[in-house]
Amino acid sequence: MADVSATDAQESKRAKIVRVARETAREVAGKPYLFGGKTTAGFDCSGYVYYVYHSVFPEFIYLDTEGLRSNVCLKVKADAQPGDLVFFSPGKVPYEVSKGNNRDFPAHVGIVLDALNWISSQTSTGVAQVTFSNPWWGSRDKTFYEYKLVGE
Amino acid sequence: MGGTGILHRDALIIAMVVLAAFIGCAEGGTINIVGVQGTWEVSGIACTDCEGRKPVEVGTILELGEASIRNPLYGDCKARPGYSLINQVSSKDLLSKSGIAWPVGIQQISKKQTTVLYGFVTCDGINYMQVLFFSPHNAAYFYEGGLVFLLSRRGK
Repeated sequence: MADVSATDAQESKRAKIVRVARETAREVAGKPYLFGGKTTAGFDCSGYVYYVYHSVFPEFIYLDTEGLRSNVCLKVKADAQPGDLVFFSPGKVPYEVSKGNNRDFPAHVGIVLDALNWISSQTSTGVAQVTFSNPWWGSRDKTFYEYKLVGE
Repeated sequence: MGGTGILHRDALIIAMVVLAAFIGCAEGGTINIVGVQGTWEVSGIACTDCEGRKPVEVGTILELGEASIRNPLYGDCKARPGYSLINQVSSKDLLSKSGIAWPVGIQQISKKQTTVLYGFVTCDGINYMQVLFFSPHNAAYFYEGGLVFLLSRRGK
């Protein structure tokens, strides 16, 4: 039998991450991507993840995208749930390769909103919601991670 | 391979021709926020560090509507499209704005205009498309990977 109180707490943390992610996105609507940005003056991807997660988990420290990925407090999981992190590996992008563009692209990180969407700060849009079926992003290798305190 | 090389060279030439035509067409006309809505067609691609990229998105149709947006390049917006974060700005100020990597072609077009409409189309209050309107008939859509899609208005 499932521990109802633990499940409630888990859902509460996850719901809070998603709510803060959406509220922050609305707060910075109209602002472009800002390299190195960690505040509502403008965000890059790791800065946005830090801002949202730090709002929910005050002990969450800032790490850049690659540093975040090697954070021991994050564990890989096969199936994403709302509030988990989605990492896109650096390297060639299949969508671009199929069109003759073989350049390498940097790593990227975002927050899973639901089964269909994730959110982060992209160079093209600033903080924006993206579907997992987006032609450009959907073609990239991705891995999901769960923060250890999401379940507490 | 020779065939691939010719394809890439042709793609680049097509992109350059489209861009040249685009620069010529971008002059004149004023546009307001209401004029932003309508049917737009990808007519060219500008980018940096993408030599040989095939402009296969040319011909794609985007529908910027009042109640929804159809955008096969990104994913549709079905909830509350917003156009209020697009503003008239000085081209000079815009080009000097930090943090935006403007492809040379876009710089050339923008320099021909004193003012342009620049900003974000939103979806449910969140950024959705970063756009630049040069005239009622020509615009640029900033896409991932440093790509900029040149848009031409379709129909009236």
